[in-house]
Amino acid sequence: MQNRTRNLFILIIPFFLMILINEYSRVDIKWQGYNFKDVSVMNSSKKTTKECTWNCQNNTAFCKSNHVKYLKSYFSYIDPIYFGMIKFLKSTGDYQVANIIFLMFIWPLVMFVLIINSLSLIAKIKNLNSR
Amino acid sequence: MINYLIKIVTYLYGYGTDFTINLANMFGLSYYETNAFIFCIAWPLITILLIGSYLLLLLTYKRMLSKKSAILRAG
Repeated sequence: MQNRTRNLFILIIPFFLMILINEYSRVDIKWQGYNFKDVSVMNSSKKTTKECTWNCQNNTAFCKSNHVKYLKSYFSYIDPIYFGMIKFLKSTGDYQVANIIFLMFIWPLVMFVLIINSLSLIAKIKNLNSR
Repeated sequence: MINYLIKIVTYLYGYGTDFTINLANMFGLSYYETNAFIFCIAWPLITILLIGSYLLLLLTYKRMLSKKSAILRAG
């Protein structure tokens, strides 16, 4: 029972943090969110150099030249992975669905399973040591 | 039904993208940097470390198990 609670906590905490950050930020957002494919989103799509908006999602080149501060000298290393991942997700036929399935479910699930199995092995090793 | 599913996927995608934008603005970073840090640096690194530690733990456990059973057989 204790392990189940721990596992559930490990599974939920990243999603909880995401909701916490989004809802905390919602209070400070000055602009009205824009309509993304019939769904109203939190941030606007305004093209501004002050901060990132949905425009940065649609126009990576603009974000790279106006907002990037620390990774400017690493573009040559990161771009192939960054755009490679986008290319891979687009190659599935539906970028959005692939994004949700792969980045919101499959990859976190793989990490979750690895953490849980590692913790279970640590407990087994401790148990063997104490016998 | 399909339209409902599409709406859910779009909403989740929008919420996730909003999270990356909010995180970037909160820490004075950019959307590109936040995405790059999470998906190109942190997650791959964490996944590799988790696989490595899991395999190491599995090896340790198997070794300990065989040692214990050898002791039990001998005694």
